[in-house]
Amino acid sequence: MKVSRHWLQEWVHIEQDNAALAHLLTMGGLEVEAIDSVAPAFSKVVVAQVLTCEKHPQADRLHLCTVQVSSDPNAQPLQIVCGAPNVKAGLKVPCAQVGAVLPLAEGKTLEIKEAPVRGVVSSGMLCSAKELGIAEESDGLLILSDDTPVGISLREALDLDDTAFTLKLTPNRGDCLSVKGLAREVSAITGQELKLPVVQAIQAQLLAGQGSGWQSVNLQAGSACPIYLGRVIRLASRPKQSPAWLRQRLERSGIRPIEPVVDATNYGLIALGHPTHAFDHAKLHGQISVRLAQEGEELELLNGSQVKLRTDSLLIADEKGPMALAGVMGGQASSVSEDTQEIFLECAWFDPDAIAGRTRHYTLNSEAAHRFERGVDPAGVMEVMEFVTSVLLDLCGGEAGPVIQSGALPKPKAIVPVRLARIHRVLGLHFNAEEVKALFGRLGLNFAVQEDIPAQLDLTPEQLKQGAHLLSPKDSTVFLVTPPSYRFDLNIEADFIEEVARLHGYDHIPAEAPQGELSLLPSRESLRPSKVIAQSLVQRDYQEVITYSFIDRDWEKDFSANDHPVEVINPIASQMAVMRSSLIGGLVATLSSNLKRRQERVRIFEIGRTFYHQVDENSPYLQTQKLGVLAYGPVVAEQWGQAARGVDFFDVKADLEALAPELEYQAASHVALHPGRTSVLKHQGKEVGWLGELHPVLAKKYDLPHAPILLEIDLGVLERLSLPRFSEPSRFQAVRRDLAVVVDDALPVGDVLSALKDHAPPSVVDVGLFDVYRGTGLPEGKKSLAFSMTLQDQDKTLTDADIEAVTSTLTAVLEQRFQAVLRQ
Amino acid sequence: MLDPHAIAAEAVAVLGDIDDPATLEDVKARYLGKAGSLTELMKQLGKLDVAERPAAGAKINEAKQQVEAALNAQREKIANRELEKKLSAEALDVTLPGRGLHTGGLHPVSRTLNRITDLFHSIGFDVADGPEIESDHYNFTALNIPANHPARAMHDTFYVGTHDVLRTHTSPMQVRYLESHLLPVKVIVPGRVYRCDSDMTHTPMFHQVEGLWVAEKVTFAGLKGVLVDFMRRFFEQEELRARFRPSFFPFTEPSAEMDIGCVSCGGAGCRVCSGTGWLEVLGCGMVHPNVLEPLGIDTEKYIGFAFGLGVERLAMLRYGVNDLRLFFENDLRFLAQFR
Repeated sequence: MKVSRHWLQEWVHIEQDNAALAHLLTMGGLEVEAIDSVAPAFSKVVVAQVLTCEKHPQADRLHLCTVQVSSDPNAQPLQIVCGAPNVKAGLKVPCAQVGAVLPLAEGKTLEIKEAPVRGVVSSGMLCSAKELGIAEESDGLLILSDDTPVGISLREALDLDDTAFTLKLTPNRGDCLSVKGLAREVSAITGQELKLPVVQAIQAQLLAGQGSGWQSVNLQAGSACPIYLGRVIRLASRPKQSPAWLRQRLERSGIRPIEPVVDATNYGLIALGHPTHAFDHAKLHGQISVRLAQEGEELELLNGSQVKLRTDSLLIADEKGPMALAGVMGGQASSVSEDTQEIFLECAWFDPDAIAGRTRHYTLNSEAAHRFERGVDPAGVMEVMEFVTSVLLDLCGGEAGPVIQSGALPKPKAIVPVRLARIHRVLGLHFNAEEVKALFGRLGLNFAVQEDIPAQLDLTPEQLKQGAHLLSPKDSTVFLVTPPSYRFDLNIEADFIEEVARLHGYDHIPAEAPQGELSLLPSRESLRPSKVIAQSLVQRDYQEVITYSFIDRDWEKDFSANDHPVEVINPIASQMAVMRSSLIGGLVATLSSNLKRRQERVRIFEIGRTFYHQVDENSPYLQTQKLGVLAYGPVVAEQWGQAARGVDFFDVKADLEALAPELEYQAASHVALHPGRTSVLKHQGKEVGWLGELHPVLAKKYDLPHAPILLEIDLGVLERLSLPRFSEPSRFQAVRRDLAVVVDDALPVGDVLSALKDHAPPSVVDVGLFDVYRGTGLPEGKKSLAFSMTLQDQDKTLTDADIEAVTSTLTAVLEQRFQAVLRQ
Repeated sequence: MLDPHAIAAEAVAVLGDIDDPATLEDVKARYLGKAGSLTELMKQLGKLDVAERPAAGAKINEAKQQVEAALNAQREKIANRELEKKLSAEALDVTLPGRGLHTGGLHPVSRTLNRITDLFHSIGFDVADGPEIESDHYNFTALNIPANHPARAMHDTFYVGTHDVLRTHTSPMQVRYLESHLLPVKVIVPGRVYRCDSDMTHTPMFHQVEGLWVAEKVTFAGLKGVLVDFMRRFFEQEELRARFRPSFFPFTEPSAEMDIGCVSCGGAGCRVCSGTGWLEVLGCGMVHPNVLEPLGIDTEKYIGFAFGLGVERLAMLRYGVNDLRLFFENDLRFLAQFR
């Protein structure tokens, strides 16, 4: 919403300068986004009249003019050379006198000097709007209206010292989308006097039904359109454009002037905030009705678009069909054209619910709908009808018919009780009744004060239906407020409490330490927060990344073999079209982009949600938090004391083991991973993730010189911890025995280790693998495994016989289970 | 008989010049060995008068002790010298860098999230987490944003189903948390949110932290107190100015927008604050009865406040990051700056 300060000032007294006014508005909840002068600074430009205009003797395209720049007709005219194509004798135009300073681009200025132009002295410059910086483009001199007095400053003549305020209004303040509404608000905020114009009723000169055949409107949409005013106006003439004052007011309000009929309705919209619509009366046929669209109906709108109407769209229709999208946009067929002699002016009230969202559905831009969906004052219908009529008759002349009213105003809103005690309780600041009365008074609210509620409460139950139950004897003072018809945001007690706070000033409510019960928060020791998991990875030299949750459809195929990902219906780009079911794609893409930036070692992780379809009554989507890890390049950063070695499966496995020692690993296959270098991760038998090397085919597809190691695991598995349980350390000496066996090369070591752990008696406190050997001395297809066992008994020192018994038991297990041969 | 003290003096002098253990032992033998000069003197004691013997013996012993003391001292001196030599040969260049893994780092957004949650946790806010695909019920309707309400247009919403959206704010968790917890509640909800918008100052995904406190003594003054305190602690600027402006959110009434004095220029006006001296940092307000009442909450007994803050915005201000989009480009050279 844009508003001219000078116009606003006509309707409300304003003492504050621009900055102070903007501050007050902003702090009152109407954020001022910009304060712009309507014209850049310039000086010594006056209204001039061209007396004579002849060809320049030395230049075909220039004219030599004599120009009167003084209000004194006897003053000596100036001689000025002018290159504008539209210069001619008699015109009134701006003249920059010698010494004038005009604005140029980028803050530079031009000073006008007396100088010869092609041999003839020019004592000034006649100006276009562009040269004065008040228009982007112009095609000649700025022509002023004939009644502009010669000699006065142009700034005065065109009111160029005005300021335009641009406000960023929140959707609850539809009442401020007009000069009237803003004037009312300025008055409420500052307490300064409101000076709204009194709109006079226009005497009907055409008789109802005279030549029009029109009586009343058939309202078929119930509460969506309870009242409809219509009037026929016969226009005497159709000037091409509106007078300068009206065009200027519209322009300064951000509305482009078009022609007088449209301008007049727009003027009503900006001035009073109530949209009206002018139909070409001759193009309406028979009875007019307000109704919902029917299946299959279409309408060509004013902007030329043909829309298929949805059945929740409110229409203005005649007997032939839809004529306008009510409250949104008129139809092309009934629009006012150059030939229109008689218009039918509509001024109706549409319920916000009947209009809201329709412009989005039809992708339209409509100032009218913008207001109706936020709420337009129903009580203002008659005023705006008369206002627009009077402007139209001023612009075009003619005669107006009577206003025909169909329907009636909607019922006023219920009275709202506002308790003084509740204001204190919600805001934490005490107000007395007088203070609240004063604030409500500034808002122009209609209210009564009741003491000693509810004993003397003098209201019908219906009036109090919204809030009667809230009242109790302890509420000694209650304001019974009638919400104004123009405020759609004031319906319940909390709304009025906000008004009290707002007008008092949020800044004048103290910031206080909160009060509440002190109690310690629960803290679950068996839960490891994800930030602790992240910190562990950071300690192991991984950098956290955050990638988008929506990804390229191909990534889902490549990294998850997922042909049915959760799709974004309205993605912002095709590479962000589906929700990820895996973090791997984002990590690989991050690797790829960093390799392009010449990073040779990339160790990254992400913790985030992944998304799948699921069949579940609570939600059709499974949204699992996962940890994804990628490692690429040297295992340690290049350094003096350690040979460079590429990171491999077991490096990342160690990182995972540090986080989750209880996982089971099994060779398995995964669409994105190297078939021989992939482990499924299981926790208590359930698949919880994957660890492996990126499949070489994908490494090639994604331009990676080497395949990174990838890990992905459900975060929940890492978050669960078991509580430590104490066991007394043995006081007897520990003994180490080594056991080396030769087994088939294909045998997974994990199987051997588990067998050892499963069969070891309690005196074996640790089993470790310390060597794996293949080659010289061993048959083809065999490997040697060397285990260390630590034995320690809780109750005694182990004898050689005890130890021998344990090692032979375990040796036997390995021999039987794996055909292991003890290596001597 | 030779003077034992003269011998001792000679021995002490000789010993003082020795710098290897072998020579030291030779010299020891020369004076104290079986044929050593002091041993010889002792042997000659028998030839003296009985009366002279004790004094002469004592003299010799004194001399022997002097030699032994000098011997020990020199032995220790040599050992020390040897040790010094060995140690100096073992010296390291301590200026060489350390070996092994370095450390990585958290993403600046996580770092900021941790800071925010830690601060609120310190006054007893629980930390909760919620789904990112939301129903329009939780994302809008339950928050007093009915279908077609103009406020829905304020949120450029991504849809994944007819009634399912990528949550446009963390506020749906207000409702979910209230549904599943007994009053009073005091919780913050950090998380990812999504809006269909991408330009210099918007990314289609970003992070918010939602705060909710519903209890008997919650007030607007208390809301201001908590948030002003938070901003001062977050930026570690005890004098940080703050102001609250009336605003509009369908799920709070009264609603406010909080501005803080520009942390970059201190309020004088700069590029960061577009010359205004103020930075818009969060939206907040008292929870709207239309949110609480459908949940069966007695709004006469309980009052709530809620707020939602943008994490990237705070991270940018805190660390001086000048382009929002950097957070999601994951350039390691950028991320490594936040270790």
